[in-house]
Amino acid sequence: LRTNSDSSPGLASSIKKIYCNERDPGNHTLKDIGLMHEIPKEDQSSLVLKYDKGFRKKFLTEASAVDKLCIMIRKPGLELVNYLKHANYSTAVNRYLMYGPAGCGKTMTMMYAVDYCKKQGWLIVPVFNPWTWIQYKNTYIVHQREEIVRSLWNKDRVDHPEIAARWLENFRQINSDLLENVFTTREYTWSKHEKTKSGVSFSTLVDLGIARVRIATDVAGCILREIINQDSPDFPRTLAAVDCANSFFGISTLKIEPGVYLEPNELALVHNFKKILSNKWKNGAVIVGLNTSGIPSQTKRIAKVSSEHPYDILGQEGFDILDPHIPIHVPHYTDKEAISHLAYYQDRKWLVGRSTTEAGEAEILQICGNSPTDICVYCGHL
Amino acid sequence: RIARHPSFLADTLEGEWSDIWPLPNQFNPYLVPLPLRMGHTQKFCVSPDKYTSVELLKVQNFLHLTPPAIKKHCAALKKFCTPFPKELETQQDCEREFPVETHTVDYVAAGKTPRNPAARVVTKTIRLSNLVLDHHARLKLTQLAGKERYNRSNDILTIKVDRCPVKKQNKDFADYLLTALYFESWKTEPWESKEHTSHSDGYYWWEDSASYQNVKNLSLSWDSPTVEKYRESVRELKLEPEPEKLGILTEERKEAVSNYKDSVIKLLNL
Repeated sequence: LRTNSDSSPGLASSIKKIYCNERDPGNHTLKDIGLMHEIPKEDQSSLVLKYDKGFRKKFLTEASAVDKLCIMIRKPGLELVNYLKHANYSTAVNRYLMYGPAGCGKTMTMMYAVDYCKKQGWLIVPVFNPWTWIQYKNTYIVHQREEIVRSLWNKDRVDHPEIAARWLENFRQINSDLLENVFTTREYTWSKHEKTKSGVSFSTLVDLGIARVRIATDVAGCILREIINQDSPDFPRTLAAVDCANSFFGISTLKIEPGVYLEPNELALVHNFKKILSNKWKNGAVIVGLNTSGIPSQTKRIAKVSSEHPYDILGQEGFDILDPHIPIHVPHYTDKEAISHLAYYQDRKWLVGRSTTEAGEAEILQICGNSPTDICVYCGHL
Repeated sequence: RIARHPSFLADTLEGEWSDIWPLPNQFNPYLVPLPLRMGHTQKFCVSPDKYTSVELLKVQNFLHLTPPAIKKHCAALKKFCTPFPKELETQQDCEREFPVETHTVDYVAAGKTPRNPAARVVTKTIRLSNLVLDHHARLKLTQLAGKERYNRSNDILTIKVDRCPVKKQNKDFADYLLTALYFESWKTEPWESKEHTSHSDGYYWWEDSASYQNVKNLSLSWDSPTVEKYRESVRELKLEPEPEKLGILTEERKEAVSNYKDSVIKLLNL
């Protein structure tokens, strides 16, 4: 056994190359594993969404503190991008399922792939936090509660007007330069007096949905319908990025009649987004992430399930919809990646003084056990 | 010194006890040579002794059923018995000859009434391999019986009946249920076409599964070995989990997932 000295600098400070010079995730290779993929300020405005952010809140706080938004290049991400590059887009869509222990970067891997697709000019359907759709918000502030109402389109379904409007805003933000060039193929009747003719651009449709909150859910459904039934060759390639997909197959805590909980299937948004998870459409890809952190807070009615096995969380119904898909395991950091993470903090002057020494570094790694979230949280206090 | 009645002492007995007390009878303190006490006690007193206790007279006693008396009884009965059949030596032989096992409980208690309502419950068990069943009939029988009655791990069907007031009626009803289940499971109703069956009980039918429908959406040639391999891996994934292992990623389950991944990559030609 060798004692770690208090004065000599650790392994992390010997690393010279921290950032990857190649900005396009499509050109990253296995040699780049452990390097940081930086997302510049001008890209952040379209990747970091206003509502239902893809990145976790903690990560964004940290990114603003170190004044840089970086995603580590890791093997699952490279694998996923490689699949996206070489897939056959003339047949049914491929589904990619990311699983692994909590806090290991499933979401970050997804955002890495989203960044790749954005650079390729894809249309992106962002569903980053569907827990909020099926969860009743027990807030004392009345105007922050979200309403649910019976759908105008189908009396059996239930609409989320406000959440759908926010989703439309997210959709507009992430595809800001694309929506003008995509057109609808059908005439839609929203109510007795409101109609949208066919051949209208998506941006007009989205603006209508945001302005008329009552029909926002139907507008979201129409957009998904257009994507699924696309037949023109000009239609951009589509990526559906669905995080926390297991919330679609669980239970909801919403009630519209006293005493009866709604099924997630009865919610119009969930019903529509389940369709995009199926492989009945072409010219696109679906990335699905699993998440268990929402389960305990969602309801007291079900026992907590650990997130180790993908199909226990997804359940029978979820597996049947997603099958066949490609499961991608997102594990803990390797030692090289963990040290590279610390080197990034040292470069940003977030870790200074004793935590850069050999002993301090060993202590951090010992406490966090190569878990990315733990390193992030623990170093946040240093 | 208390003057004791001589019947306290067992060695004053002359001859066999079973001769003195041959039949069920009410308690008699002058015949029973035991220092018994029974009954409600007053403050600072012991409970009444056998000469003054009325309680001892009330309860049923089994003084005619002492072990020597039973032995004597058995010895007397032995000449009427036939030897145990040699064919039924092992448990398997017994089960083959008598597949239905009946379980009842008789309650004997020192109470006011000899009847106990719990004695009416009848449980009948049968191992399904002893019945003549084809695949469909077996599936239907297990589904009709339900998960709580059929144990998949040892193939035993258990029917518990307690709805009638008397044990005899319950026995008959259990027999009726078994018969009805058996003959009902052999029938094939028109609504039992293949779409309605599921693999949730462990019977996995590929053509009816959602996976098969999804694979149909891909444009593939059906004879290729990749589809067959994919089918095998899906089957492995769906049939593996045991309830106590839910949520835990063991080595075998990890391998099943990675097998599935390989087969899908080959299927999608990535």
